Amino acid sequence: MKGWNGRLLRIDLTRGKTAFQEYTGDLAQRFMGGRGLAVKLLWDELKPGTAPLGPGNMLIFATGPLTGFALPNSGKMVVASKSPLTGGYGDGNLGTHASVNLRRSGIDAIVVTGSAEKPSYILVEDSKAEIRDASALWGLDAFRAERELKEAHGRAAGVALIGPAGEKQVRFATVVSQEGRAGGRPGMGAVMGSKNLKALVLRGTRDLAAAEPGRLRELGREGYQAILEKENYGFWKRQGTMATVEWCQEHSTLPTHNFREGVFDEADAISGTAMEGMVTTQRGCPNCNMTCGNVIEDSEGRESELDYENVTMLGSDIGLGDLREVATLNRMCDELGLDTISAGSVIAFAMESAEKGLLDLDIGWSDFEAARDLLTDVAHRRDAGELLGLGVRAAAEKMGDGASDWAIHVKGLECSAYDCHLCPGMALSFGTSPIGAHHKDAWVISWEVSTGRRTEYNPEKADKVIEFQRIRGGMFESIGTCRFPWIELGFELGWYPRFFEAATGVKTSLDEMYALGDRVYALMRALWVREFGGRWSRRMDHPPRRWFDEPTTKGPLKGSHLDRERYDALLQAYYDRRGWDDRGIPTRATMDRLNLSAEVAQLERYVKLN
Amino acid sequence: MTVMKVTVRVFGDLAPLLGRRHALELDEGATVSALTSLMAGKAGLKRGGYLGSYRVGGSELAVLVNGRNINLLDGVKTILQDGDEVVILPPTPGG
Repeated sequence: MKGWNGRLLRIDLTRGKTAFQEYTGDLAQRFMGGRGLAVKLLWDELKPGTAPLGPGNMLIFATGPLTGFALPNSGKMVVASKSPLTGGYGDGNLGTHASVNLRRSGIDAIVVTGSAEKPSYILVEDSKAEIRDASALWGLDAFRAERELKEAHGRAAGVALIGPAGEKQVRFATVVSQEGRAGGRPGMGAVMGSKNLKALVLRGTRDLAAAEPGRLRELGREGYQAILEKENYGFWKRQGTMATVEWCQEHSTLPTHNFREGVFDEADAISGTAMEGMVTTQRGCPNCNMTCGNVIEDSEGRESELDYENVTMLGSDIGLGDLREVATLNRMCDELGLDTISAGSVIAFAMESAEKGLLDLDIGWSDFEAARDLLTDVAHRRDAGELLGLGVRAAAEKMGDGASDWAIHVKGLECSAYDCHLCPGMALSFGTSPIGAHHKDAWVISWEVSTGRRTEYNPEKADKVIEFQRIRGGMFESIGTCRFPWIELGFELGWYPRFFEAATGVKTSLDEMYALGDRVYALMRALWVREFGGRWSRRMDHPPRRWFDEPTTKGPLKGSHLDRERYDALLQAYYDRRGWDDRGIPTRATMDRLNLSAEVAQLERYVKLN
Repeated sequence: MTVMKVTVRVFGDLAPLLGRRHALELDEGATVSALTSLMAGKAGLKRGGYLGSYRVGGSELAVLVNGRNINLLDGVKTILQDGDEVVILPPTPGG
């Protein structure tokens, strides 16, 4: 194989064993890499019903066939597992030098099983892999631990690691890298912590083998240039994703006070425009010329790398209108290894619960000091942080007294930063996201809102969600490059089959890439159904109750709310188009069409297919 | 003819092109189309019906009048009233 390395590294932490394994071109071509490869490995090897935080769970770090080549934004890898936050399939992607070093070590993915007796880290140097003692690193925050590992193994090493939150198995702990890159919202860091695994340290020096190296080099050069010439590149460089604060505020979709409202009185103070005057530097992933991370000095004089999601969930959603204080909370999350989106949602949930007298905690809206203390307590699972470290769904279930009504999540994953009181298409995107409420798969809100058709429940919205899921959740999550050149700057999708062909020598088309996306989606859904069995229900594809039952009370669109029956009809339209039955489960014919016939028998042990 | 006052706020990559805030005087009965033409003219933009690379009334550029998208009103023919607040919002990065 060219493009792919065709090798996995398997690590059994219980037995202290490492082994390299070749895999076939058939697997590579059917599931590509990244998310596709990860879900296939989980499907084949994860015992159904495995405890997410037990030694039987698998933790997979998977790159794609384009990761590491000199191509636009090719620094990505996916980290995947059975999620301790949702109980279903979980993953996230992060751009990091660890991805590139992993590929240059001659492997495409690392599969970790078991649990080490004592804190450990995995060191991979080209063809050599070993498990090392991490006792001296345990308890350190993710920034400091990474610096120590680079001190020991060289600055060229790529490191992916956890902070204290992962060690304490906070259910929304992430995997962190490069002091600000993070991935794995549904608790991938907690799975790592449950395995006593502090870090991966990767040093790869091999050249990647492409099918057509000269052509690939030329395409990469042309691609980078094309990105630089995009009309909105200059504005992107000024604000990056932070421009979305103003956009959401004006469109009444800015999550505010735990998603009660879509407008925030102090939005100007946390906007991209406000940020512009504070930026000290910009950071990005390897092989990227878009550098989306805008760094400002936080209220404690430290550097903090901002983007829209972080600032909104740790800003307007908790009522905090001081950007430098928001930046402090954001930087703390990165150090502690907490997902910023879920952390913001958990703080907001705590504030609302305290307001309603259901949580004995001195924390009010916009209270920066209390939020800062709570983040630390959550990361260390102490006091109220013990409960809240479970995420809002589980915390609300334990609290009772109606607390689930203001736990803003889908399938247990806290919603990312788009208020959907009047965005049924984006609500469908959250509802059908394969990891719970996350925007990375089908970010349709810009399309839905800008066209002025946001009040409609037209089946065309289901088409749009699927189109985006194919492109973003299927193709980009599996080939190993970032979606931003396309979605933010209009870098044409046609580049990607050309990149792929030059790298792998395998002919393809966008249609084939989209078919891959449908296959991966069906298998991710099958994994959820296998885990939940008789407990699976289409209600799990519904967005939070608040968006249906509690209309907004502020802004030009006050009084907005979703309609449950119309949403359910839109969901059915989505199922129909996917070839899933009215339970939201792929039919046998759909599985066959997607070249998943071999997986049907296994799935039918848990549910009868239509 | 009576003159009316309209405020306009511009966001995203159009803000540097058009200016961020405007207080404009228009003839009574002026439409969104008349407003955007006036703004384009002031900024020296020559392409009719466009602000920068965005078509006014197209699917990418949102124009809000008092917080409501003109595509939910009468599109570019929406008639403005004295005291209206207009927002011009290009599509956002962010996802």
